[in-house]
Amino acid sequence: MISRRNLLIGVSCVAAAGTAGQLKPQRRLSLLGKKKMEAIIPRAMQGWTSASSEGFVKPKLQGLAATLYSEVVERSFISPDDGADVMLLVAYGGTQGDVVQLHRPEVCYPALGFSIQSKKAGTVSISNLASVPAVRIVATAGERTENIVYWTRLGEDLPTDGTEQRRILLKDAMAGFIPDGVLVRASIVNSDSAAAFKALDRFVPSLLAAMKQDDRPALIGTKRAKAVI
Amino acid sequence: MASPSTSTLRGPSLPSIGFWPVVLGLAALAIPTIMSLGQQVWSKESGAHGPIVLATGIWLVWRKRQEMLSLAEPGKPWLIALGLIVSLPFYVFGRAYDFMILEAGGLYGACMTSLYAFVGLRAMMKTWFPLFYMAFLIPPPGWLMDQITSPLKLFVSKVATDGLQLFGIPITRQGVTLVVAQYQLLVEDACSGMNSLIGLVAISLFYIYLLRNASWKYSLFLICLVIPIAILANVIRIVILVLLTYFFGNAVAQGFLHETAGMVLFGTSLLLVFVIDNLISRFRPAGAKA
Repeated sequence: MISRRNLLIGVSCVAAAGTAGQLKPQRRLSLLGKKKMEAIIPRAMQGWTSASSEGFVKPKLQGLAATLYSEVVERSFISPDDGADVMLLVAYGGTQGDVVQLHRPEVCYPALGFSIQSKKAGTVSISNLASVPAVRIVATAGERTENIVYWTRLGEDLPTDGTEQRRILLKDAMAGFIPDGVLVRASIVNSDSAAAFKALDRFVPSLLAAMKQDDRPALIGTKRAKAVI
Repeated sequence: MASPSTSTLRGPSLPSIGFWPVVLGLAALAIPTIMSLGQQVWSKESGAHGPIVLATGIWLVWRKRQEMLSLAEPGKPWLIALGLIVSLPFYVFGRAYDFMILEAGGLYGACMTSLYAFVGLRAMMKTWFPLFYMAFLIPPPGWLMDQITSPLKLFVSKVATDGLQLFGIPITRQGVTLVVAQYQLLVEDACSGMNSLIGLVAISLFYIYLLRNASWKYSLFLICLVIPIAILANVIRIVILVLLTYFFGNAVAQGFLHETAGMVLFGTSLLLVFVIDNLISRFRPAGAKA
């Protein structure tokens, strides 16, 4: 005989399973679409010459990184004016979630032997009209001082720390979609951090200006892409 | 066997058809969750112990079924209701919005509540370990584990490197990247924590429970050693890796790393618990065993 109690337990479990299935986001939001990061990140830009990309602190495309990112693009550019050597890394993940989500550089650099000297959340101008929320980090390992500016995009948002990143994931899930995500990191090895950050502030607008209008949302979201001239 | 209760129709006479709604309900919750765990958690080193814990956990509970049934009494309805009212929303929220810990935690709660409905609290207390052990199936958030265990991972690399230097092995370290002679070794993924920690703790607890039906105090003492043992096992793994690289070259070491890394870790941990347990037992007064 099936008791009323057991029936109630069973029915409430099935109802919970059904509700969860209904609420679970089904749509994907991808600002990259069918394009490849490799194709949309410029190889040449005005005021900078491209160089070979060696000596990067980078995720290996195996093990953990392979599950986190579907594409990692590296480029290196040198400024003819002051010789600033910028290393650009763009790591893209098509679906972001609880288990698989972007890692932030301040977490990964220490494991590679760097100590983080300073970390500041701020903005980088991308045109006269707009800026992106970005993080500036100075990391040192032995004699090497690496000055890093990076931002992350999750769907249409640009979170600057892990907590915000997780809050945006929840917000998007509740709105019914799973976002894509990208980490854009530019760095210069130079013990003169002030000079390095000045060059990086010059580099970021050049990078975006050299991209096609339609490709920019993949790095900075739709709203800000409109503000780049 | 449980003697059929004469005074009430709700007696815990097993097996009976009365079960099925609950089993079906739990299956509706568990099957999607187990599929997600399999795809996202069990395939990574930090969650590789999952299937082992699930299988051994079910086995441990099954072993205790007679004992549980002999103590069985129906659970109090208000507690059952409370358990479900707490667990199911957690499950729904976690499953819908992708919080693995809430989803798996909610499922665990729903299973415990159902078990309580059938056998009551006394029987569950008697089987507390297997039930607690199953909680290792609930994956803590990766970002949190990374934050907690990253310093441990650095510590492990440092201890291994310093130790090997004492024996004249030419080794230097930058973070978790080791340079041995002309070889460069990245012991673990730089951006993750000490992935093996939870699995090692689970497997050591399993040993303590199964091979040592010891007193509360002694079990607690061994449990306190579980984390240091997991750390030591990781040190030993790095030392083996470095020595293989140094004496036999990179190819041999990488082969070893990929093929047997997990086995070596778990094996070392179990061996360490076993050795410590045996050494201490030898010096403990006879009869201290409960």
